[in-house]
Amino acid sequence: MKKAVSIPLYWLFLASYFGYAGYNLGLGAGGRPGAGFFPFGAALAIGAIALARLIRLASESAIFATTTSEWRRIICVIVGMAAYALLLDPLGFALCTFLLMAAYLKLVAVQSLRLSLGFAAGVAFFAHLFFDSLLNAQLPRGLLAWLL
Amino acid sequence: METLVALAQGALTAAAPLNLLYGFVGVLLGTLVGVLPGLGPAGAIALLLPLALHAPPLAYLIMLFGITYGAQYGGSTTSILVNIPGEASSVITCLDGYAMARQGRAGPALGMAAFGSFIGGTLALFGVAFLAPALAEFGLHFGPPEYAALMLFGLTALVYLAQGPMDKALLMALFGALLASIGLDPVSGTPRFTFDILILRDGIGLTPVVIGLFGVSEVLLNLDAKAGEVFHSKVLGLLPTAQDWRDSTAPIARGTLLGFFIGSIPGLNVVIATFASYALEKKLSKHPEKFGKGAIEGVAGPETANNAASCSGWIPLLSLGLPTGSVTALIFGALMIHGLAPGPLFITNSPEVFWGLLGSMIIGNAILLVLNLPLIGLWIKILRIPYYYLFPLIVLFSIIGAYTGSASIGDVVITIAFGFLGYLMKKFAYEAAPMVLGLVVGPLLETAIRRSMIMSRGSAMIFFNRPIAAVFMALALFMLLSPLLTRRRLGHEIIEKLEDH
Amino acid sequence: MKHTRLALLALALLLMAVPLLAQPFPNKPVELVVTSNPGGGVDLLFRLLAEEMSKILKTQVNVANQATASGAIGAEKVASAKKDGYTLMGSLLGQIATMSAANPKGPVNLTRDFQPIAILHGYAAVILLSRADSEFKTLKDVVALAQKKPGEIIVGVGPTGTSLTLEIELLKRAAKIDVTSLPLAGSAQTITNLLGGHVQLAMASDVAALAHIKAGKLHGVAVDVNSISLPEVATFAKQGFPQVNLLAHLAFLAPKGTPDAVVKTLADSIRKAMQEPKLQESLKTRGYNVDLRTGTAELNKLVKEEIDKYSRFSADELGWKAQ
Repeated sequence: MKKAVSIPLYWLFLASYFGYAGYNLGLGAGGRPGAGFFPFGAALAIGAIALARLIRLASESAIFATTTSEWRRIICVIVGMAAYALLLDPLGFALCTFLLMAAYLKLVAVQSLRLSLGFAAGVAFFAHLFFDSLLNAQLPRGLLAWLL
Repeated sequence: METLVALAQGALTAAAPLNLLYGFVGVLLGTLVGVLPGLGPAGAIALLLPLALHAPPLAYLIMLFGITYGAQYGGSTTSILVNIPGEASSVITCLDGYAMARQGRAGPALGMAAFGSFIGGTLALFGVAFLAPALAEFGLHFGPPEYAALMLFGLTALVYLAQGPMDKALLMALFGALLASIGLDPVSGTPRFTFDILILRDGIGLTPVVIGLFGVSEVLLNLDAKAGEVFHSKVLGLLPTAQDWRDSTAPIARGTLLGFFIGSIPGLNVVIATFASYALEKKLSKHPEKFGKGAIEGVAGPETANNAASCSGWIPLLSLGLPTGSVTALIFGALMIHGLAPGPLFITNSPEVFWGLLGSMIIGNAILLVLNLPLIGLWIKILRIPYYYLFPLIVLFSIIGAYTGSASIGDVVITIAFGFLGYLMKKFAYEAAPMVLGLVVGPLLETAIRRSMIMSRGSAMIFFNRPIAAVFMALALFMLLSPLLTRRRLGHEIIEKLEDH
Repeated sequence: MKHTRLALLALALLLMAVPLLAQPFPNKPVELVVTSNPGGGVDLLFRLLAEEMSKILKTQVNVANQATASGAIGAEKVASAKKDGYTLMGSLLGQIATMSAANPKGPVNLTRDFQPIAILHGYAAVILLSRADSEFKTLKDVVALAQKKPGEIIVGVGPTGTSLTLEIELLKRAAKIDVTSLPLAGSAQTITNLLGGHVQLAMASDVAALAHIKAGKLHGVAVDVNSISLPEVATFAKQGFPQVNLLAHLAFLAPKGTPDAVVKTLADSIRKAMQEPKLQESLKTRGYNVDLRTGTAELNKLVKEEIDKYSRFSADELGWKAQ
């Protein structure tokens, strides 16, 4: 019950922020919609729909079966990607790829360390070959720049 | 008649060994670029610009053109296999294509995508050959009010995209439109919702969003299965069955026409053609509830439409010399490098180039079909890779795809954020397609309306007293009201309402 | 002993490094960050020049496009790069001047962060266009008709803060007329809308407009600098409005504090490149003017003038709201 109601609340929160910001940006005058007109309008519409859902859900007993059984994995994947993004410039493409692949294989797929490192090395090597050398895709060199 | 002769001569020119070689390289590169998410034809062409100064002009141009429509072939591959749109225009293919893959029908999906692309592209090229000047003239009649009315009509397609409750789809579309307003307001130049972060000034790009929303979220969803359950995909058959062909013929025909005409209107993203085709097929289908669960019409129609649209998209550039998008702008530059100023007299002044390019595209489409069909077997094998090894690769490709767009970490962050968001959305039964529609059409609609209001100095009548605009407004109204008129759809609505509460 | 061997090795390595350190500039590839989209007019010219420079400097000059946020990201990157001449910026001078004028204390300031190496003065013209079958033949016609019907004439202009928009503002101020500016996305869109009759006038780059003028569909009313491909069109100044002067200059910039010797080497290579007859020819056929300026004093003067020109506008008009 609680879960079902909380979603429309998020929408209402979103709507109020964008509505407020849109209003501040200026709704425009004299038949010339300003920068904030459409965001304000969209926020208003979102708010209205969310309110309608809220009322409807509050008056029913909604059973929301959303279960997440593998939180650890989800968090791991996301943190991995975030870390990759942060470390890409300093460490460089090849190194980051290696670390990410190894981490995923070891922590999420729960494979042996040797397999993880081997897989990671292979992927990093071929990815570097393919994207950097072949396609010249301007990926950061980072730490291993002296090697490549 | 002379058009056919000119076309034949063009094809002959294009078949000259050097041109053929460059053309082959072009379509190969295009397919590659299309398969890799994020790396679009614009990026590939930009990488090849230095070559422009050394390569023979026609061959070089043939190669560049090859990249652009080759990408439309490859884009559907990852959409179908792993739910990552290779190109933004392949988003719709994810809906039914991936569903088909999960049912073991990735082969027929890939096959029908290839065939549809071939038919759509080739027929569109004949259309370009015969109708380019006329369509170009027609396209000029589209000013801001016409675009506004057209986009309004396009939004009504929303009605037919949504599988679930309408209010959730509307929420998603409005949310997409809000997200699209982040960045510099195109009409007034005021920064909106950028919080003084420089990277946000250009807004949230479509590519990182769809990579995250479709690809990454799918990975998260699959990993959320109970431990030990490995994502497995059985493979039934490599090519479309006779039934598939019977189902797909009409969608392909409609997709070609729809894509061809939508693509010829200057400035419309090819994505719009795919959404329109999907909505049309769903509306005309005898079993609309199958859409989203693996209906091959949902792959055949849009894939045909996007190839047709990308071919007719050349019309404003080749007939009038007006680059209407990032890819056409690049080609404009490439033509300029070789002193071939595109303009209204381009076809008259440089017929060898124009017809040579058209001829090369026809040959190129054929090459692509022959190239892609055997590859289906290879792609299917990828699905056999155990998911534990596959998903890191998917994540890696998603990151690379997001990064290479504008060499910025910001896009990667967006992909991650939308990956997580997409995961939550799937959990709470919110659909992604309406959000993409809002993201693409929202800003187009807004700028069109605001520009129209500037032109009319405040009067809303401008949408009704101009013929083309009035027609689309009427069509939009019709689309909005028609579900109420058709009893069959009404019946479905009632059943849906009873089902999901 | 072990330590002696180690010391000898270190000494040997050090000795090997000395000639490396003493190598004259440039001894490795140079990165040219171009703050415009690939394939466009600005990018094209820089690529053509970079190729010539590579031959003259005997080292690769690589173009990297970084057009995000109107070039602000690229500018920040180059401003904070090592001042050794291996990271340079190629920009529309107006882009950087705009940021500096709108926000002098902001992350990018032309005079504070950069050192000009060379400037291509007025590389391409911006042209005010009308349809060939319309009554707008000269600026006088435009001003007269605008005064008769204030606000009714619609001009297709470019994105906020670009010279395609700002020059019409200058004309409006100088001639005291009221025309409606319709913001569009660039030359291609303004020309399209003009051809379709949705606007009566349009601002565009001369390169984009050339084909249509030659085909007899459009007519050039005025340019901001003499156009090499359309010499018959008179400038705003000639027609009585010298205030409309946001000429487009292309600039090679280095981070401020780059050694003078390095700057001179680069400036010389650019000058030599521009003197290449083949390059001059290909630039001219593409409609680029080839008025190169070098020399610190002159460049600094040009830079200051540019910032002054843009300071005539508010931060809002320039598209950079003050932070």
